[in-house]
Amino acid sequence: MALTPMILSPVIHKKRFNFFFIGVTLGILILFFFLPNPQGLTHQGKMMIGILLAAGILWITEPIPLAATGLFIMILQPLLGVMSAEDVFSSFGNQAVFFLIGAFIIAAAIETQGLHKRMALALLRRFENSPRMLTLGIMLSCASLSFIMPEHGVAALFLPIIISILLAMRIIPKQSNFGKVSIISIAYGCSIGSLGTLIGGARNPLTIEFLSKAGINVSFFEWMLYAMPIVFISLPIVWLILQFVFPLEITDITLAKNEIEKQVSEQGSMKKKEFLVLTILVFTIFLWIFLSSYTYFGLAGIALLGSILLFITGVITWKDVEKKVPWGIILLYGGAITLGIGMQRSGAGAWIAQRLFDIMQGNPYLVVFGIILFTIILTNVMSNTGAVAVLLPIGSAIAAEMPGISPLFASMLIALSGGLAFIFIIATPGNAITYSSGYFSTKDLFKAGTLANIACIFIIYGVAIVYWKGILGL
Amino acid sequence: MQEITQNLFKKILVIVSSEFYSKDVINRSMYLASKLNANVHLLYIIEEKPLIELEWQSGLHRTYYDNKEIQQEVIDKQRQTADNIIIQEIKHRYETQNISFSYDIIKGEFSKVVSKTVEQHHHDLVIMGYERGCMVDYWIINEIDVPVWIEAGGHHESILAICSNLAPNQKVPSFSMQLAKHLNWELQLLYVIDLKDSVYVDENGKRSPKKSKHDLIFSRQLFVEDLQKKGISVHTTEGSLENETIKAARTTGAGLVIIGREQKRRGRLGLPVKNIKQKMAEKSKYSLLFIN
Repeated sequence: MALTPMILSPVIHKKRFNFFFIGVTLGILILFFFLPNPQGLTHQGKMMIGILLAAGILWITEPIPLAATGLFIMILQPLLGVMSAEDVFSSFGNQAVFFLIGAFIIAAAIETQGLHKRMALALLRRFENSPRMLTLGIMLSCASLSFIMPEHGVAALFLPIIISILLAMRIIPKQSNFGKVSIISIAYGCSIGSLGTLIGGARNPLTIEFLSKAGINVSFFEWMLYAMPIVFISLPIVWLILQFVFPLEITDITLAKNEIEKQVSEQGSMKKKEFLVLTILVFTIFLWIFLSSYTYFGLAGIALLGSILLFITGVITWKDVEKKVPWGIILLYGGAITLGIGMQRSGAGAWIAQRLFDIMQGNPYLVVFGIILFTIILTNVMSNTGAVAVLLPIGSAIAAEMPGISPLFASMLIALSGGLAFIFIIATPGNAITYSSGYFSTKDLFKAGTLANIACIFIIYGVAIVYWKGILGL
Repeated sequence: MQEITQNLFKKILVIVSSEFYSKDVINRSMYLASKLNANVHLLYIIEEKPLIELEWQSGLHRTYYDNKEIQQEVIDKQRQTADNIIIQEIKHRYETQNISFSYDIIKGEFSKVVSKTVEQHHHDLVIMGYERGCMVDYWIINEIDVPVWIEAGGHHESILAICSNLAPNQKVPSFSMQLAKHLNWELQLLYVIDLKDSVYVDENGKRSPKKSKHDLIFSRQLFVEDLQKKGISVHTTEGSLENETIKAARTTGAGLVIIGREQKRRGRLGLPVKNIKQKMAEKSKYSLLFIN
């Protein structure tokens, strides 16, 4: 049997598109270079908007790795005369970068010693009463672990555990609503949980660093104070949406219970190194909550102290760090920070904000709604951190123009909305990780994700107006 | 032609995958295997595209080692799911019908795996489902030269065979008659002149330069008269091939639509324009049989 060659293989298509998008990006930069300056905008400001657009295209279409786009942004600014090389590279060395490094090392220790699995099973065991409770348990457990570990690590931890349970229950992938809800709950639980603390997602430290450059310091505890109500309102509502979209077809949970018990017994009793990691973790979180606002300690100092203690006690080695710490995110982060600073210093952020302000006719409620809506749309089609990086300088500039909206208020809106990417597989690694299991389709995610995102837009809006503005006076 | 009809569906390849598993596909394979006394080879494909997507999406946030670890875990779990649940269920059903059955579980890109398997085992029919919006790339349905049956469910026992100015029309009429006879299904033949792509495709599948409507009608007339001499009546229509086919399938209530090796104009500049067969598979609510 002979097969005629393919007209054009998908790989060739992908390569062609990569070149196309790189060409579009360079075209935009050249176009912006020669365009006349709009009224009220300097040449530097105009070029910075060009860089923002270029970064947006590269982060959405990914013809080069996201981290490489971060580096590209850093070199573009001095090359195009927006900021000096010294200013660009010095802005990379900030406290939040080292906070991230410390948090990654602590997460690496938790994973290396298997403490994360023990905690996951301990949490799941509390929800073995019924199929419905088990799906709630999955979502709550994922969210809880995402308070202390990066969300994507939590998704990768829970996926094999939950598939084992589904296997034991003889659930057929894509045909069972229980299977769909269980697996989607992992992705959504991790995304929602990652909003709660500074550790869950890299966009959170990015936001506090951006704010600190504007002279606003947010401590670990203050972040939790602002974010946790959104987490605790969103979790049950999104869970209810999943129950509504995919009504569960099973009633008996015995096989799931047996599988969880089997996995718990395989874990055995807690080992010394696990205990040490747990102790250092609790100690570090304690310091983050109560001491991170002190100038001479700070978030990064505490994170690095926790990391050093892990090395001293021998629960983690440098080899483990090399295997477990994703250094690429630090580079993306560096690019994002310099992008924000460039937008601010060149006046581009304020210029865009003024245009948006005119469109929204100065209505603060409309502006708040617009920020949430636009962030959620953008975060669904590009990297969460990228979306937050692109929008923070604009949001902050809007806040400067709009009476009644502070930079902290606008930045928190963007940071928290930026973590809620529910609709597409490409929206966040958690969605891609869980999709690979084969238990739900892209249509399922689209259906549930659209409703969940709509609900979350109103939740964030409500919390922002009533709690942040009305009670906390943000 | 004689060779094709003699070997009609003796060795059927049934495909299910981690991306799409339809019980209708299994039901149809059981029906055909029983009717034609054919062997069934079930292939479960662990589609690798979601795993590549996982690596692509997580590349920045998780290390290479982490991604490899979770990919392997997912593959292991999918293999267990296929082996312990899906294959067991299907096996039981085939065995109760006394259908000769073998199976494989293979990880890879859907179309590549199918083409390689057909090449190795010399199947004479492929039965599969079609899921719009999933990560499977169904290029195989345009490239493979054994018939591909896309099952969409339904119980209508009638065949609508499509001939057109865009296909050589060599295999479709006789193959459709043969199949209708074997299955004891009703057969209707339709000749469509595609006015949006007014060329004529010859016996070798080569497209002519643009033709006038008059020329296309003349060619159709010759084709229709030739079949009428053999006692077969052909309905005729004009319009877009895919739209007219869908319309005719709906009005006749066809259970199966047979389409030949159409050579409709492809995307310009190498841009990925979906082939007519994929478009029809996406839109159709009835089963399709592609004969390349």
